Amino acid sequence: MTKVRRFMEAGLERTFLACALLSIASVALMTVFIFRQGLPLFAKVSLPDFLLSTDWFPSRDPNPGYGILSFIVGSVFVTVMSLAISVPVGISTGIFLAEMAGRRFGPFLRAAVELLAGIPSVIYGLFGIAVIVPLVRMIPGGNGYSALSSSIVLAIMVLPTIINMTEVSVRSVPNELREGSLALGATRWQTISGVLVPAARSGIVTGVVLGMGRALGETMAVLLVGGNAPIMPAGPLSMVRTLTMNVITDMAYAEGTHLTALFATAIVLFVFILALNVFIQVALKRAVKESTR
Amino acid sequence: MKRKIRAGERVSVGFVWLSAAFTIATLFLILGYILWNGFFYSNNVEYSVTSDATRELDGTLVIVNPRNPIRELPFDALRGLYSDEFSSWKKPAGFDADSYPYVDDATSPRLAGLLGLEAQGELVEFPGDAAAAAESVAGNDGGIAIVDAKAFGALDPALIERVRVVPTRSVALGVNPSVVEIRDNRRIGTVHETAIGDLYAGKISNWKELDGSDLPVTVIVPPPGSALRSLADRAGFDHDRANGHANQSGSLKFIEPATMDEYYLSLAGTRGAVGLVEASRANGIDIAPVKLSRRETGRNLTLSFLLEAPKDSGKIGGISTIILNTFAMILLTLIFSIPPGLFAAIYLVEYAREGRLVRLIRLGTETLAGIPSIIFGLFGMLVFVQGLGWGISLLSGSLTVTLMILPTIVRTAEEALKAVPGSLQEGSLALGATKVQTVFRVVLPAAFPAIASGVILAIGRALGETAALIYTMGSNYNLTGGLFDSTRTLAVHVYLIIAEGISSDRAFASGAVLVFFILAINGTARFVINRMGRMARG
Repeated sequence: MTKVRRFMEAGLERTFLACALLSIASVALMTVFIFRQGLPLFAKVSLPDFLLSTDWFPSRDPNPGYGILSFIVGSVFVTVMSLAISVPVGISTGIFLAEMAGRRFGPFLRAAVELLAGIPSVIYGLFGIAVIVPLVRMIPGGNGYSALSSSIVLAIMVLPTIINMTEVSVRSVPNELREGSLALGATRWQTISGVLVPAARSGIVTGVVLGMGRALGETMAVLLVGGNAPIMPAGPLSMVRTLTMNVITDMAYAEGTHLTALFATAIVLFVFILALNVFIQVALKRAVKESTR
Repeated sequence: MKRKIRAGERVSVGFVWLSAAFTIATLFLILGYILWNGFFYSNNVEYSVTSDATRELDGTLVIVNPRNPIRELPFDALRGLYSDEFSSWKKPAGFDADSYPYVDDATSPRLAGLLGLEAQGELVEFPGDAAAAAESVAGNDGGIAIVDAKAFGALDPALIERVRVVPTRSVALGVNPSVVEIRDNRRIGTVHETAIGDLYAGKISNWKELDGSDLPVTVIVPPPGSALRSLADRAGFDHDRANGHANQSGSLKFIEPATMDEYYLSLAGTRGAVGLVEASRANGIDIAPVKLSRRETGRNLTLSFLLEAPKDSGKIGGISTIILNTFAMILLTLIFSIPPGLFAAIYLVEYAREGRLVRLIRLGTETLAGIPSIIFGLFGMLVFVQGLGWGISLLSGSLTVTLMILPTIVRTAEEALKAVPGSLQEGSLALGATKVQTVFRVVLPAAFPAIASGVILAIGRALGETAALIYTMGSNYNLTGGLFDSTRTLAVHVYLIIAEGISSDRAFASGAVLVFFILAINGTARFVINRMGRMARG
């Protein structure tokens, strides 16, 4: 091997390494930039005033309000409601795919789930406006643009994440467990509910948390169906504004402290998402440990 | 005991089945709904005239340029064009041309009466006889002329070929002004068009039944032999049956005047009277028009919608430039994301040893994958748009999306490279190839189909992205002029059309195109994976 060639090989290896570091560098840069833009807010507004006040009125001339409690509550409320729908349905479908689907129906359902994951959020928003909002207006009442409509749309959107994680983790439960349970005389369902699901617990929880992250971070679909009123949601039929909606709504024209407050809102969202990520990493590590035990 | 377990089990298994069915049903409902509404529209529309279109309008014809897509002219639109209410064809026909109303000499004296106008608009021009009017229309995309029917029929056939006669809808449902008065807080609003038939068939005896005030109905029947009479007959009028109904109900009356003048007089003079009238006579003073609603259906997504450029923030025209913009964005994103994504995967699989660094890289990729798109949008805005000064542009947007899809590409490429059998690499190395040669000549080609399917799925994500693009790539719907131009993609277009409340039909048509692309991408990825499986087996 000539020297030139060896030099080239080493150079390329460095390039590969640099590319591999791109993701982590992006995350780091993202953190730095968002925090640098958002943190100056706290020179003007105290942290409790920001996080624990429901008074959001940046355009009020003397003493504008920068409280985002309503949006934090809105985000959490909508996410929890959407999980209440998607977790039972998603886990069941995942179990179905892993254990009960036949050779014909299984691939068909799997393709459907994949497609569901690929539909853009703006299409979910369009569907939400055209079908779910009128439906909510008609059946439970209210004007339709509500936390409930947002939750239903989000529930459909996070379904594929939960289904996939459940299927993968139930499938990866060692066969001996399955066979052992059946050999002891347990029925198929007893095996699933008593052995497989508990064994796959960590993976399923990871799926739910991933779905939670997706629901928290979703913007367009909820923006179209949530009503976007900057108020504390009073119930499922009340209009709602989430953290993401708050960031995107005013971004076009906000300036000064208002703009800083939007970035500070993004920090809150970012921290939520990072916390969920840490949780997932820990849960996955536990899952690996469990499966190797 | 055993039976109890069985019952509980059955419920649980039933729920699992139901969930699976629900998932599939949801998918089909969403896709079906979007595609159906994308291809066909069905809207409730309101007009002040009935849907009966006639070629002649009281001895005159309405002619337009053949390029004008309008098929029927409702009376309001015709009147609007001649009274300067519409100065362009955008509203009445969705056609991007200024309107030039002409009228021939024979018709000009009675234009005001014909259209029920107090004064004609200032735009109206008088080119001369019918031939001159037709010539003006033929030479002007937005031209429209009202000409004498007989004079037009006598024109040179070659000239007639160069214009198009548009049928007009000029029959209104006229009522005595007492019907539209507000009484007891009730006032008749829009009625469904089928009410005309019901009225003439004697099925409605009081205006209450049409949500109006408490007033008995008197149906005035047009004189025999008139054009209006044939419409009334078609709507369901039957002399004997009508009189039978009238005798039965007591309050309902049918009046059959002998001449048109008497007909209009009895409409104007009888409380609760109703009848079909020429739209020009329903002036709201002695005879008031009632708004009619009906459901209109038709093709929504047409070929011209795909091939035309959008105009007037997407209110008219199509989405051709937006589709091309989307392709440009996808292409740039692929150029930016495939090399680093692939190289990162090569590093992870071929070079790195398990350890801290690899764990850190994996953590970075996982975290990046979980970050919501709006955060990417903010980051892109801060770094590319403002920091690097590239402005809201195709380049800034593509780079933002690149970061978003990078984790997908790294992860799928990593899996693909791992799946290449080690014996291949060992063989290559044993033959004296260097590591880089082995990677590029042996490992990458073998892993190509799996990498391709990952890239295709990443394209799907880029295609549907909205939140990250709004403040990085912008919303200019014209064909992108270069890397530093604001550019609108299809997904952003769908969002903006809904957000700006332009038209749900257009939102669905654009959405259907987007869904179609997503389906095509999914199908392609599936096809690549299938072929890969066959190749591995064969």
